[in-house]
This record gives sequence, structure tokens and C-alpha cells, in this order.
Amino acid sequence: MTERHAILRQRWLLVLILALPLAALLLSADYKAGAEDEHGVPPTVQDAHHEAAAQSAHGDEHGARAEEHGAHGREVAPLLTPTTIPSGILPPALILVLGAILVPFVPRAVRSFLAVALPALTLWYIWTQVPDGCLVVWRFLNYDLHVLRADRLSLIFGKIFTLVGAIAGIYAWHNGERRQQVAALLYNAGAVGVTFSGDYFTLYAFWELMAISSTLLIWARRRPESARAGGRYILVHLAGGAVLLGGILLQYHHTGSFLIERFAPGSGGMAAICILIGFCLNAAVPPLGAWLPDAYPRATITGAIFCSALTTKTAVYVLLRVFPGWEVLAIVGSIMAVYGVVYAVLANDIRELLSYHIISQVGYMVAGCGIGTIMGVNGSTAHAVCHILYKALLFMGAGAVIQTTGFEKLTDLGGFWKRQKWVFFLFMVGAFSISGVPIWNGFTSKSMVVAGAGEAHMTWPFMLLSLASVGTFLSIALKLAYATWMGKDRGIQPEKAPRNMLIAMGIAAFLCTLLGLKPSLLYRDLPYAVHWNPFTIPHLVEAIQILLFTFFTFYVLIPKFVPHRTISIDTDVFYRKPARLARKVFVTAVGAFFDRTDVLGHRVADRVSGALRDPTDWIPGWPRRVPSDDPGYDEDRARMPLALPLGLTLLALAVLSVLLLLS
Amino acid sequence: MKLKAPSTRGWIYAIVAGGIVIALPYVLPMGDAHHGWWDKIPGWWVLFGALGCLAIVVFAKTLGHLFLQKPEDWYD
Repeated sequence: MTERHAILRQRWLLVLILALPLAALLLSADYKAGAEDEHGVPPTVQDAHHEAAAQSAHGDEHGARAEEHGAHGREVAPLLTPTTIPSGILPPALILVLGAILVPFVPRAVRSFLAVALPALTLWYIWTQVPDGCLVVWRFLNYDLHVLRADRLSLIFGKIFTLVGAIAGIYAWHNGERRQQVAALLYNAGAVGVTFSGDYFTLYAFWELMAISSTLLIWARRRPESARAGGRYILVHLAGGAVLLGGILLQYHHTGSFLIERFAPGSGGMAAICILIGFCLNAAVPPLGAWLPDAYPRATITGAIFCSALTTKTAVYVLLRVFPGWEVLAIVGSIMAVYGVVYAVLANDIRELLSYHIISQVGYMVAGCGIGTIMGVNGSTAHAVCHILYKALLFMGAGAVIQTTGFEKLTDLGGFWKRQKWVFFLFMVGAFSISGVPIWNGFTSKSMVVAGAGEAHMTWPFMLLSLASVGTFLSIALKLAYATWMGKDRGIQPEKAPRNMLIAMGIAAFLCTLLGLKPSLLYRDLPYAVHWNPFTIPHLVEAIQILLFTFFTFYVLIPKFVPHRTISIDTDVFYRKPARLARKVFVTAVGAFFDRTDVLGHRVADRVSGALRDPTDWIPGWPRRVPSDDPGYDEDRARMPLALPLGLTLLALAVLSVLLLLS
Repeated sequence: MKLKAPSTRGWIYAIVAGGIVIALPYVLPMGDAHHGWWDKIPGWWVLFGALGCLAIVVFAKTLGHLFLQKPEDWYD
């Protein structure tokens, strides 16, 4: 029995692929409820309030109904909640910022508690205290800053960012490192701040807060490669931030306003392009996204959870806010989805593989934004929520492997799944979720984006996104799981994972399953009314066929998946390779020039001062001085004793004090 | 690791499972949920899963061998 035959002996895998989708079909209350519409699709969520909100958006006098159309004649999703309710509540990000200031001064156990409680408190605050449509304006200098603007889109992103912050806090409970806890809270605050920003001024401040705090989570690993990767990461993000700032200033120059408004497809000129580039860099859109697989695998085990959840998804949020319906995003997003899986097939580092899958999955969201229809925007938002949960779970599983074995390369791992069953089992929940296996949440959200492309008659995005789902199942659920836990037994005896890690993974796995079985819990919070049911027979059959035959092909090709000790070059090669030359030219050479000049200058000055010491030496025949016992100039002897100026100062102070007292 | 034939039991599992899955569209009510021309091709998603997987692996490995994959110390 070879190792690869062992995978077929895991009959549960076949049972999962075949039986669970059918179970999902039977279990899904959504499928049973309601009559089918004209397309044969039963309505899933018919929330009256939701419908009303969507309808009000359609008919609002402020032009909420978007009149924009894409090249395929598709209708771009309408604007959300154009009217705002002035409110006096505090921005949710403030809770996290104040907490981050407080955390360094409390004992370790309290710090760990606060790292969970503060995001949880912020989640509760957003859920209960921030109503849809509320607006908070603060006056700063001569500007009205919209520090809190809530609508259905920002609310769902705010909730998921804080939820994953709390889960990641549980996962990091054992860590207790002050620097990481503060950085994580600030990072979470940055993401929540961006989400609720109503103006670019506020957005930019929180945007840069995210860049700095996430860099700290990379540097906190205290390894040379982490230090270098963190340096590249912050430089790339500052460059992206500079482009974004340029776009913001251009936009202000043209409109006289810092308010965040949607750009109609193709409009906005250079301002829109600069803002789009700034957003796309954070969304890791190729060729601007090489920073992600460069930096995230070098972050701390717990810090990578925050990284996986926040930066790219805030970028998706702002893209959905500002650039829905930009067709270029549908094309780029579809390519991005395949780009990520191609690199994932080659990856050897487990977190690098997962990082490339962030790029791939964010590709779905970017494509959904580019499709821009109600289905596209809803699908993109739903996929962001589901992705945050299962990607956090996958990074937690990978982190548990690194923590308990000390290895992070596939070439060093393998054959120990029976010695780490819980981590393996929970990881597989995340793997099946991201792969779109029916019953888990990836299926319920990914299918919306793909169907959105189909509905909009965008054939190539539809095909590429479907192909990417094949690659996702192949490289995570099959390759990564097989090479990490199954495959060749290298005799690894993993330590026991901390209980808090397993609890956090269990919560994430539970939520992935819950949203997979009961997607209406997610759909009812989406920006627009949802008329989509993933649990139809054609969808399930399609998913089962793709998954099973991907599995068969993987089985045949298992020898091709033997990992190698290699890295894969990405577009970062264009700044990493020249970096050595640039360092030589601009740092080493300049430093050497100044050093040589300094030495030369001192030598010349020495010679000149020596020559000018006694000009009579130049006169031929002039009597030479007789050497004496005088030791010559000694700066310590010639300098005014220190006691004298000090004494005079104190005396003057005393006199002044007396004079002041007398007066 | 050399490619070896699956065990007999493995082949039986694979053939039975594959046959069931290929037959599903013909025994279940599929409706007329067509995205495009490809839905009219029998077994389209079966082929898509198998050939798509093969294409991704071949494409990635080819690019890897051509120029993407480098030794681990390449940047050092």
C-alpha cells in the first residue's frame, strides 16, 4: 500500500463529496420554503424590511437609482441608503483604539481577555447601537469629517471584521505579547475605521493605521526574513498609500469634497485611476499583489490570522463602495482567481500556499464588484464574509501545525494526521469551505459570484471563476491537506496544540458550517435583497461533478504534487532583485563616498593646520624654536573648568530667585 | 514517488462513484437552468473538473520549470 493509495482508503472523503451535498439538499429549510420564481429558483430571503430598503434605494429622489450600465447592458446595483440620519454616537473604531492605548498597562491575563473582549464589544456595539443610515460628523480644521457613515454594506463588513478579531483574539490568548496585542487591536480598529469612513480624510488615516499596525505583526516574529519582508511590505503599502492620497487630492481639486462617492464606470479621470490603484494594491490585485505571499508567511502565527482577514477585505469593501460595475475589475478579478491557484500548485510553504489562495479568493470578490449587478455585489459581499471565516480557520490550522511541529514547509511535513486529528479535522472544514463543497459556506457565496457572471452573460469571467474553484479544491483540500498531514510519514510527533487555539478553530468551523447549512442567516444582512438559492439540483450536481472529477485527476497526478524545496518568483522580483544594486548605488556607495571624503578632509585639515602652526618655519634661515618642556596644547587643560560656568549659572539663578521673591 | 496503479478496491470505488455522479443529471430533475452553450454538452462539468484540474497542473508545472521556480536562496 503506497501513501497515495491511503487517500482512497479514506472512504469518508468520498462519502463527504457524494452524500453531504444531498444531505444539504434535504436539510436546507430554504429549499423547502417558498414557491419557485419564473426562473425555477425558489426565493431564499424575502425579508420585508430588506425589500423595503432596496425599494427605497430604487426610488429615491436623490438619484439613488444608478443609471449606470456596463458594456454588457447589465444594470449596476443601486446606491445604498442615500439619506443619512445625524447621530451623536461614537465611531466603533474608537473602542478599539482606546483599548489599544489601555492594553499595555494591564497584566497579561487581562490583556488576553481584552484582546477578545474589545472586538466582541465593538461587534455588539455595531450590531445594536449603529443603525442603518446613521451619520456622525466631526468638525476638524475646516473640514466636516464623516467619521461614521453606516449602511447595509458597511454594517456587514464591520460585523465580520470585529467577529474575526474576537476569534483571532481567542486563538492568540496564550501568546500574551504586548506588542502583538496592541498591533492587532489597532489593525482591527483600522479596518473598522475604513469600513465606516464617509470621507477620504478619515479613510486615509485608518488606511495607513492598518499598514503600520500590520507591519508590526510581521516584524513581531523577530526573524531576519520577517524583518526584511516587513520592510518591503511597509514600503509597498506606503507607496500605494501615496498613490491613493494623490487620487484623493485630485478628487478634492475637481469636486471640492472629500466625501466618498461612487464613480460611474469609466468616469473620474486620473483621480479615479489613482484611487483605484491604491485600492487594488491593498486587494493584492496582480501585478500589485506580490507583497501578500511575501509578507504573510513571515508574520507571527497569530498575527497572520488578522492579516488574512483584514487588509484585502477592507480593499474589497472600498472597491464595492466606489467602483461597482467597472468591467475591468471583472476581468482582472477572474484572472486573479486563476493566478492564485497556479502559484498555489507550486508553493512549498504552507502559509504561502494559503496566501496565494487569498489572492485567488479575493479575485472572486473583485470580479463580483466588476460585474456590479445586485447579484455581483451581494455575491462579493457574501464571499468576503465567508472567506474571512474559512481563511482565518485555514491560517489557524496552518499556525497550529507550525506551533506544534516547528515546520512550515511541505517538504518537511507529512504522515502525522492520526497524531493531530482535531487540528486536521477542523482544517478540513475550512478546506471544504473554501473549495465550495456543498454544506459549507464557500458554496453558498462563491456560487453567487459565478452565477452573477453567468447572469450578466460574461462568459470568460464565468469560466475562469469556475476553473479557479477546481484549482482551489485541488490545491487546498487535496494538495495541502495531503502533503501536510498525509503523504509520507516523516515521523513527526506534534506537540499538543493549546486549547484556546482549538476553541477558536472550532468556533470558526462552526460558523462555516452554520452559514453553509443556513445561508439565509448571511443573505438577510447583504446589501440588497437576495433572490438566490444555492441548493438547487443543477447547482448541486454541477458542484459534485466538478469536485469528484477534480479529486480523481488529483489522485492520478499525486506524484506531480511531491513538494520541492523551491520558491516561486512573483512580480516582487522587480523590486527585490534590483534592491541589492539599488542599495549598493544609493546607500553603500554614498556612504563610502562620505566616509572617504571625511577622511580626506581631516587629512588635509591636519596638514594645513600643521603647516600654519608656525609660518616662520617657511622662512629660510629663520631661527628655529628651541624645544621646551611645554607639552603643547591640551584641550582638557585649556578648557574653562566646568565648575566655573555651572557655578555662575547657579549664582545667577539664586540671585534671580531672591529678586523675584522680594518683588 | 513513482506512479503505481490503484488497488482493485480503489478502482471499484472510483468507477462506482464516477458512474453515479455522471448519471445524476439524467435521473434528477435539472430544469432548464442554462448558463450557455456548454450546458448542452453531456457531462460538461465532469470534463471541466477533470480537464480543468489537469490543465492547471500542467500549466503551473510548465511555468514553474520554465522560469517561476527558483532555489530557496535565490534572493540571497
